[in-house]
Amino acid sequence: MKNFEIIIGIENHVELKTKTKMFSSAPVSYGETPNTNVNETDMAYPGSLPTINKKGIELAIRACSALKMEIDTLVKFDRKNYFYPDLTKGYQITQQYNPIGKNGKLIININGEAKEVDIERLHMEEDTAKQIHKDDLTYIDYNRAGTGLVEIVTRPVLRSADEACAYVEKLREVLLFLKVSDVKMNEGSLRTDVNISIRPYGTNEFSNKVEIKNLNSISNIKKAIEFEVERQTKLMLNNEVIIQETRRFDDTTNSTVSMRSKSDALDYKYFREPNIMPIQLDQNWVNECIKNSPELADIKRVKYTNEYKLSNNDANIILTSIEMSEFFEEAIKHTKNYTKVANILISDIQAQLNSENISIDKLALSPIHLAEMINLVDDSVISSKHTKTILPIIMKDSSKSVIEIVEELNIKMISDENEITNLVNPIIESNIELLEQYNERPERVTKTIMGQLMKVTGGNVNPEAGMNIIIKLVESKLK
Amino acid sequence: MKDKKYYEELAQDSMLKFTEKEIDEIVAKQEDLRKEFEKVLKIDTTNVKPLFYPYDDIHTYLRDDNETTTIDQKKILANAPTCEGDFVTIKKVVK
Repeated sequence: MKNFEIIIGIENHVELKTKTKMFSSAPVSYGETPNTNVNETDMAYPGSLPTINKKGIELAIRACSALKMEIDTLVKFDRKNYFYPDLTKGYQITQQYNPIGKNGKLIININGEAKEVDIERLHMEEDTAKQIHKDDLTYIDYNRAGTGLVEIVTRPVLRSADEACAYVEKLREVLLFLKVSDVKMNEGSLRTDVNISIRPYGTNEFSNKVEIKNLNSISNIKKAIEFEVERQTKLMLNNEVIIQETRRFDDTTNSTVSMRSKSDALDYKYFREPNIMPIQLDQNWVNECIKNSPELADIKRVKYTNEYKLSNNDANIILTSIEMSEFFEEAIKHTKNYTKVANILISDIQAQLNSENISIDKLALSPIHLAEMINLVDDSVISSKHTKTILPIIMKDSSKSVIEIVEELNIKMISDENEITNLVNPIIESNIELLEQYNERPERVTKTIMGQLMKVTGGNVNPEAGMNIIIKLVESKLK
Repeated sequence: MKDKKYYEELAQDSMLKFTEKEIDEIVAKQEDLRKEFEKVLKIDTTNVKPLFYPYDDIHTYLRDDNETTTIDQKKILANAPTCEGDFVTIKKVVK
């Protein structure tokens, strides 16, 4: 296998996070009752005409800008013609001839080394209907038909499965933090097609290109490429022809299966979309779209580690979820203890989210409540162990402030000197024999008294203040 | 001129089936059209850029992503040749 160079190009279809579809005003919403988010344009009723979603264009511009692309401000669309039930019109509106973005790049990290991935183009188009094939019938749900997509195509510059995975992961992160898309591979809002060919090192001729369509997870991308490289290598070593074809990945057998060969590939007969005139975008508006783009994860990562002093690992865990990072950033507006916020988010809160399989924005917990709780610990109003009591309450109910909960539960720490003195004195009186050990084993004496003090107060004494008073009273008693 | 074989392949690509008679008719119609277009082909178009739209105007209108409109699911399903439950159905054509 080492005698062959691997050549990979990737195409990603990304569903745009808009309220309405790209060319119609039907709503975009995942998981609705089939065929309810549909209107006349999606169903190609006679007389219906497409209109362009402004937000869809804005999201495409954000993506182009983050991928360092040249942006074409004269927006034109084309028709890709094919007769198939997933598009009622008989054609897909796309940008074959004038993609909105071209000649971009994305830096990926491979084993600590940066690699620049050339991106050929980014164009806008519409998604197709969802089909479920069962027995002799195909069941069609047109809710997805017409949802805005951007297709992002790399040049064939990737050289291994790991590079391909790193590219898709990085692209996913960029699009997620730009709020261009939900990029949920399992729900199909990010779909990956991989083109693979191989060639013996030192030669210029590629083998025929094989496309693997619709890979729905990073691990499947890796497995599909590794299988395909091995399959093509065996064919080449046996002097067999690698057929140019489209294959799909079967995750039950971890292998790729042929779908169709080039010989019966469709001719799409592209032409300009006559129902949409070219649209000249206002350069000032384009500049505003770029200026108002949300902050990228890379910028946040630097800030989290340099400014907020989080470890790389903690920063990366928080940055795996946009909701988590937004929560973190809101919480640290109300407390200076950034590390504590990160620790609680990553441990207790993440465990709760995992067990309920939800994101943090679905919890009742507000960033202000979390910050308030941390501040109460830092100000010695409550002990850190009480966070375990308070957290489950504030994760479910945001109607009360943390201090109200603390007062209701009577878990405020006792720091008042007189109050502690009054509590410690009777304990000392009933342990007079113990004090005799103080000169030899002072720690044993003070810790025993502290244990009893905590027992009578339900652990609510400020440990530092309590210990100081215990030492003071014991020593005065022994004088 | 495109021959019968060309149209047979085109039909295959378009997932359509034509009878021999229909293909013959298409080929004959093509010949008629070719004769009609001979007049058009005589027009000198040197240095004339192709025009894809009836107007040369550039538009700026974009739709705001606010208002949503839908049609009743019952209407969609009623308009489909066949349906089952919430879905439009067709005979399965993929393997």
